[in-house]
Amino acid sequence: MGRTETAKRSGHLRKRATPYAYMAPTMIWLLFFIIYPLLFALVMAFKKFKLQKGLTFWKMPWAGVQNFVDAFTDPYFLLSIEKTVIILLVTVSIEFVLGFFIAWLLNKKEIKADYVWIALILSPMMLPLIASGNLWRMLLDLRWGAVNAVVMFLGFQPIDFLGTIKWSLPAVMLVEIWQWTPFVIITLLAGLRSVPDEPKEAALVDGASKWQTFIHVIVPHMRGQILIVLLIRSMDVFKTFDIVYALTFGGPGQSTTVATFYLYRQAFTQFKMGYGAALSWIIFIIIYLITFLFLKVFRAQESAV
Amino acid sequence: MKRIMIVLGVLAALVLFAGIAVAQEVPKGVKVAGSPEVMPTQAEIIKAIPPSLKSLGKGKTIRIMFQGGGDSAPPLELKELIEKETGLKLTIDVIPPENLHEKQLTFLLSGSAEYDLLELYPTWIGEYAEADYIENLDNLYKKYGKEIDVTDFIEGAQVGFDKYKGSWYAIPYDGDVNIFYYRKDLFADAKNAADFKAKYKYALAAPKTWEEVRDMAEFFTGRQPGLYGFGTLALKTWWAVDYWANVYRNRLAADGVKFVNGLVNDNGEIELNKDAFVKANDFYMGMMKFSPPGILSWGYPETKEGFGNGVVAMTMQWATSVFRDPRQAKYWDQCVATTMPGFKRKDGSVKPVTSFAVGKALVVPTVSKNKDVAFLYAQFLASKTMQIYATNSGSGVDPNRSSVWKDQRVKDVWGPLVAPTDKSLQIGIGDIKVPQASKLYESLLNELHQSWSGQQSSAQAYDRVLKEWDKIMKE
Repeated sequence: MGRTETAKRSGHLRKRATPYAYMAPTMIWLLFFIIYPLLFALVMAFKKFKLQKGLTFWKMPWAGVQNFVDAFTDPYFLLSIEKTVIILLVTVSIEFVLGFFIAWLLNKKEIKADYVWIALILSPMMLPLIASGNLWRMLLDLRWGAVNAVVMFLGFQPIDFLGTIKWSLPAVMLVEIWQWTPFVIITLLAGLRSVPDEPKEAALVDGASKWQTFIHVIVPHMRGQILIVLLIRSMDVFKTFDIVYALTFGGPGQSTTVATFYLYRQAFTQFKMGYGAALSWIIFIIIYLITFLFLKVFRAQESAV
Repeated sequence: MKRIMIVLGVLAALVLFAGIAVAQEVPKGVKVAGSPEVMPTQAEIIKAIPPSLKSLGKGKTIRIMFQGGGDSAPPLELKELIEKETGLKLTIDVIPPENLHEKQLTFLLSGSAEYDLLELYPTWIGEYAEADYIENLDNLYKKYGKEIDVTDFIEGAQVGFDKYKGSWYAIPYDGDVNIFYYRKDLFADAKNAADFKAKYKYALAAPKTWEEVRDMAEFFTGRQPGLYGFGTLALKTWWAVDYWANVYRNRLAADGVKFVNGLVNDNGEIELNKDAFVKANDFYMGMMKFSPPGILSWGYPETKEGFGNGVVAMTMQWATSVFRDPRQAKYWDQCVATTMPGFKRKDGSVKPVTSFAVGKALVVPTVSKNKDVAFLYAQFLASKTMQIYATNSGSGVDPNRSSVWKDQRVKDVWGPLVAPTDKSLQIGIGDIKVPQASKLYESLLNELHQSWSGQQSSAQAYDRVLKEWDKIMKE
């Protein structure tokens, strides 16, 4: 009787433990590679980083909220956030409109061998970001650059894309758009292809115009893909670094110093790790808020539908 | 598929032939970096190994962190030979320049005894020394004094690159200093000389003052299609500050201001002077009017191409034999140099100063378990033979021993650049070396670049720099 009881209990325990065992690898991964670094950075943000032999991270003095106070009173950090937001609004809008248009063209039945076009369109995404930055640094060069060769061929004066504050930010945006519009295209194309024919045909039979069908039938069906595109691209743009690093190094002046580049300069050039950690947490919270906002808007629209 | 492969093959061949067609040949009789006749022999290299390295190195392993690119080439090329001759095992890690500081600090912070020797920019010496991360080498210099000819290290370069607060903290490696380059053919042209004299009332010759540079830059701009008077590195990297400092420090000197570094000295005293800062920066921005458009995005490759291939008539740049190499510069035989111009002092004299820029040194971490061996190996790299090897192999690692500049093989490669470089190494002023150096440079660079890009005046830039520097130094 006792043995049966024990066997029963261990079977019950095993049953209860099984889901945890399945989840354990993921939880361990999350703990060590996501939660621990985040917490470490959070603690660091409240530390005064100091270089001294034998002085370990845990023994470094506390700085209270000083790093955060410094961040919100640092004009160049605030400027870098402003630059990042400008890049985000401009590039994501253009990428979305352009990407939707190209996806719509590719979705046409008249397009033959679309896989060839898709592979070609995706090629900018296949390049490492740092390579794209360097490539465009050459393409946009004032004297040798292919872009200015075209500008001059058309009878205009060459444009100093990288050496003037007027053009440097648009140059960064141009490379962002070039590199990431393919992602928008491929995601929205998948969305367009997932829209069933029946509701479109029904709308047309009911007298809706093509535009009305697009707005009221196709777009709502693609809500998921649109959310993915806007969300991922917004998060990505806020993390723009490599292109700025290779293309302009944040200059001229502060004209292309985006938030992550500024963070990098503070943390890894000046080794102000505590301040850098505070900046990274502020950037993280901004990205989190953007994500939250997008999800809330889309959830509200979903409920309305 | 086959057709595609043929097309790709043809394209590759075209690119290859285009590359061969573009590369300039070396004229007969011209000795360039890398030619066998300018390189030390294997016997010379073996002779340069300090005897103590042979006795102490056997069976030991040292790990070294070098900056990638040319800097790591000489030790990598001679690794097998040195290992064979000394019984020492060398592990050489090559780190990209932009990550070098970060990698070193990560290692030093960890406290592990992973590395025995680090290559660094001298501006980091104070930061590492004050944190007790690197060894004070005075005792090792004394201990192995018989095997090292310290007197041969150029005095100015010693202070600029290797010493901190009067003590040896480093072993010299790359002896770069800024010199002033100009195109000989443009200056020797009779019509240019006559027209210049008619306009400016003095002879067109190697400039001695910055005012003369300004006149000459104005004169040459547009003199030939696509030619500009002056252009130098102004991309937003801290090197741009070194170039700017050539004008600023000379302004300070001419105004009779007493200074050691002109920015921040080793004792942490801020030596910025508002009047000189504003005048120098306004002057510098005025010079940019005679620079090619896009000058704020000029890094080293643009400067090298710009002067070597005739876009600008004058430039300032670290000393390099690249400009004397027909494979790398179209006007190689017309590229000559002088020491950095100055400003006229009240008594009418001109006593220029120049920046030690982008030189490098080797340091021994305090955690190293093979300090003597690491020190001796670094001294081997700093030997006369190795300095000849490094510079004449085209690595970009340049000498800072007096005797090297007298060696015929070096003279053959460097040509007329030897004298101004040798002299400049004696009068150079080093980078800021206090522990806060990186922060100070970053702040100065930010404000200077803001003014160069038209976002603020020189006076505003100065005020912001001073405010920030006060804060940094108080921290």
